[in-house]
Amino acid sequence: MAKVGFSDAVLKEVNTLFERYPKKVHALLPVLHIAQRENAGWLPEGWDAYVAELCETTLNHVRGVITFYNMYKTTPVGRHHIMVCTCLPCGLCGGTEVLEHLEHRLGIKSGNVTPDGQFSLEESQCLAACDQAPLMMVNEDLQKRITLEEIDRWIDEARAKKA
Amino acid sequence: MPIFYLNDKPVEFEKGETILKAALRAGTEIPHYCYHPGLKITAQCRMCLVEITDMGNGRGMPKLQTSCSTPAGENMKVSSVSEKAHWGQNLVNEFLLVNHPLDCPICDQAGECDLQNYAHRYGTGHSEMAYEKRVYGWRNVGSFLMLERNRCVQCSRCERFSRDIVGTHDFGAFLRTHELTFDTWGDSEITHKFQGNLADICPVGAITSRDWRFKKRAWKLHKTPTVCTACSTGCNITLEHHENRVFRVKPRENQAVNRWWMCDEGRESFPVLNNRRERILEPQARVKGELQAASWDAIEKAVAHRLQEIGANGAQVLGLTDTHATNEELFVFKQLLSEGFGSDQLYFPYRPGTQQEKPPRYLADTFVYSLITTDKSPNTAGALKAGLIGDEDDKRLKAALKAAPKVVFILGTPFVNDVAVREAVSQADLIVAIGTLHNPWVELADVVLPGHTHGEKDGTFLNKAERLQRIRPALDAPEGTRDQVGILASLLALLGKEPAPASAEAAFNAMGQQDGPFKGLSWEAVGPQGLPLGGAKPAQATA
Amino acid sequence: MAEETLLLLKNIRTPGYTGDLAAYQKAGGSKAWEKVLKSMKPAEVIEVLKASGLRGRGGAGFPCGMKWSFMPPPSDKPHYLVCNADESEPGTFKDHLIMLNDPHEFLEGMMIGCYAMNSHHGYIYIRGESQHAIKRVQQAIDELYKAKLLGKNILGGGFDLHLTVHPGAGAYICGEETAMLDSLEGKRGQPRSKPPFPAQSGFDACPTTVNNVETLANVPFILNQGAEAFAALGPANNAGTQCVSISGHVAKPGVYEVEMGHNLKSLIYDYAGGIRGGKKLKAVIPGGASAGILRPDEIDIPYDFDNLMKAGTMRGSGAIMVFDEDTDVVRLAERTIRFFNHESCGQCTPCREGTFWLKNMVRQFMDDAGDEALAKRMERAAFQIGGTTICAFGDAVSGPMMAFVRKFPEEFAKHYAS
Repeated sequence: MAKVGFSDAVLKEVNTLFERYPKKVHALLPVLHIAQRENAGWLPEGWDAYVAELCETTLNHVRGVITFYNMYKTTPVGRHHIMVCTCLPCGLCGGTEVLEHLEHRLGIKSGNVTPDGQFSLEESQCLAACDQAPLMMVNEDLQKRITLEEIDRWIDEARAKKA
Repeated sequence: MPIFYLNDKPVEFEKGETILKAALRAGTEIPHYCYHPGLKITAQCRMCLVEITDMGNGRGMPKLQTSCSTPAGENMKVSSVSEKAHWGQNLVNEFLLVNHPLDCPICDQAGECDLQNYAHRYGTGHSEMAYEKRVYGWRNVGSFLMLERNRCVQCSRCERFSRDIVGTHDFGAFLRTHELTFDTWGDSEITHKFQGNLADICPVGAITSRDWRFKKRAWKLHKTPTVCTACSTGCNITLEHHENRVFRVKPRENQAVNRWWMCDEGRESFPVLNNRRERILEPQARVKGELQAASWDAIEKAVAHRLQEIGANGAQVLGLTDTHATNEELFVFKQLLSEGFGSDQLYFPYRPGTQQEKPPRYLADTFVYSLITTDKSPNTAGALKAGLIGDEDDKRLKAALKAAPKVVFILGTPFVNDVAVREAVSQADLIVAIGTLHNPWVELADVVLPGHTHGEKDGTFLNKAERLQRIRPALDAPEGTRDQVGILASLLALLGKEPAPASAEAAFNAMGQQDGPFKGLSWEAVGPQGLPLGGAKPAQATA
Repeated sequence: MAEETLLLLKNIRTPGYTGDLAAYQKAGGSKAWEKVLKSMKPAEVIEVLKASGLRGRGGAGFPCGMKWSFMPPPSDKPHYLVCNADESEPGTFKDHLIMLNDPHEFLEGMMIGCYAMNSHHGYIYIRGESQHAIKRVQQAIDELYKAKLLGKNILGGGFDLHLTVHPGAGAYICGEETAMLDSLEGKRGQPRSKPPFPAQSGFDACPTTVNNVETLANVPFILNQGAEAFAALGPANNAGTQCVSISGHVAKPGVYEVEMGHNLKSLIYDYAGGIRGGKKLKAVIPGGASAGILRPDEIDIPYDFDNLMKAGTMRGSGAIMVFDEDTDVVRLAERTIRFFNHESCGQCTPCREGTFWLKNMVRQFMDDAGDEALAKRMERAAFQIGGTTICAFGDAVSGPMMAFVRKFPEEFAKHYAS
């Protein structure tokens, strides 16, 4: 198991964060985000306990929070984590087709990672840009009015870049 | 006190009190799952919905309100039986049955299950849900507990207890929506000593106790209110028994002692009450080195004869008692020694208790951890109050034993593991042991007199906080045994002295008439909630 | 396209507007903040807000000034203002437009709110998925600190104020104000049973007010131009302009700012360019996924809080979703209940079990295995979730699900078992 714990620089960042809240535990959500950022987008084993200690709360409090929110992952995500909104109205403006196409192209079902660890796919709820449906979010970038051709091009490029 | 109207009947309430709390105190049932008086209010199960037709200002509330979270108000008009309230109760129950397995026939909770009871009283008892249900496997979640999540109604009592009362937070809330689950993480098991409370507070059969599994249907049990004897706290309990066997122990609310809780050590202490294998069932006397059973009559005559032969008095006669003896037994024991022999030599092992378990970090109210003490007997305070002789190292007893006492009366199993004490006592001319289960003193005794267990006898204990509490007989004692107060009283009678009180009640009333810790108290004064020495009023039960 | 009534989006609609502090101030920004700090008492600010008639733009439409006045007088407990920038109601994207393009406007409103409610620390709760919005707002806050419009002893007036951006982590329910407060405290975002209300016991058990981004963005205008100028816009009891998010099968989806009470049909046809591809309209969901669906003959109504309520639906967060004739309403219902089932926090029985059951029932229709009894059962289950839960999520499920079945029985009939 890899080492669990923030570097001194990140700890400094976390401590600055703590100063913004009356109690350390209030900063649990942003601290978990930082933990994911430091671990390629997910929370490997042991980080829940580490963050619990850091935020001065119980382990199951942290686990309860991790399992409540969509964005915390306890299994690895791909280098490109893809979220596709299939909510209404996206779902009725091509979102489901985008998701199906991605599943087909990547060869994985939503909620999974490609064997090479490059892509993970997640069916998501509203991403708050419904006027630009259909939406695809790759890591932090929202790609708007995406077409199936653009998706193909993007996947090819991403794959080529890796190779 | 101000009043509000519940189903057209006036109900008194304290300022700030919720409708549900006031209703329960007044004896009106409003169905509920998530509300528990000892836990934070979350109002999430929605079962206690009531209709408020008048908030006290002439206006009603358009929506049904949860009575557990809505404070009562002066002249408020509330209905838990109106058509709309029934609609609310029925719909909540219907939704709860959407994913419930309806496996009452094999569920240990059946008969004392809120879901089952409410489904009968407030619901249609079935669900029209025709799809695949949420299914989990069952498993053990601790040495005491079994978890069957299919039956869970997501009331979150277990999480709130784990988080706010025990502080271990081993039961957590995970996931959300219909996948919301209350569970320990992964396969982890609970290790704290308050697990049994989780089975108590679970309103359905999701958390049940392992040792109770498939043992008995709940409705067959008789319930006797009494007091736990497993440590000096004296948690108020109910012994639950059927056909003269105890099946389980449940805490009984007493705000001044244990609130709603008790520890697992106490809960697991009942098998001793069912122990027939090691029970002393007849009076016995040693004949040519061997213990032989005889009638009470014959034994008593023999004891009287031996005592006359020995002719011991004063410091030659020693009494040893443990602190499992009731105040009444100690009183009569003392009387036996002083009036029968002019002896004041009554010794007990003084083992002051301290808190046994350390509370975890982040726990605000650590009350529950004060429940388990290291003193595993119920009446150390009583022995102290009775003026018995005892010290932590038994120095005074050992000094007394150096004088080679001729007669030793032993009540229970005091000092039983101390080889030196046993060796010294064994030199006496007559050893009379009164007890319930076979023990090393029986091996040494010349006369063995079988007494009653705390499940069979009446009497009082003084807990660590000097609260006087009464135990009550739940079981019929085996034929051939006698209660200890009677045994001690008849020993005194053998010596031709003034008869001592021969029952716990008579002994207690006698104490009440003498100078001493219980002066002025009567048997009736020790109510189901006990009585603190010093005259404070007994605590009020809360709903 | 018809003209917008620009109040909130004035800067954004100005070509070349960058949204940084300098640009904002050049366009007249920060004046209200300075005015309030230098010349107004907190109570006076609240009176102005009350007089303006501003109603919350997050969904419930609660009068903003009244909400602020619920905050207790200063005590040893800190007071908090939390800006609800979660914007998670499906179909809504107007707060993101403001946050990404003119963040100083709502931040100024928020600062004024903090001053009015004696709050020295405000939190802006932005959904975790919107990294761009989080960064943009943080950048704006940094600018404010640098310009000494935030921090200690602001402009020498003795008032201290800090603002902190708090990221969510993916949960629709955190848009509910008490769930948001729990989330802000590092907990699972589960709505709290009220009372106590946030004004008594909110964030960290201290007096707290929660306001939506768009609501706060109105505040600088109201203080600069006066309550009357604001109240003059829109019909009685529905003052001001509104930023309406229009999405779905329209030619020009987007955010449009119009006066409160503007005709709904006009919004769709005059602003959003009508149905795309020249198709016919089948249905409109007028206030986010939580609002009941309308048929084409029901949309010729003023678009505001009171008139939509009269029409049996709601304005909600001002999200209009438009669906053309090819739309299968059952599929709409399926997307809707799938969303609500996914996002229910799970604590209340009717919502937790009801959304699960409803999802299964709608799926039975999707499998063409429905019947009339099933439609009735669906309607009954949906009705039972309404008004029986801790938070308004129950109503948000109940209203639209009942509306689908009641308004479009013929669409469900297409999915009966043959």
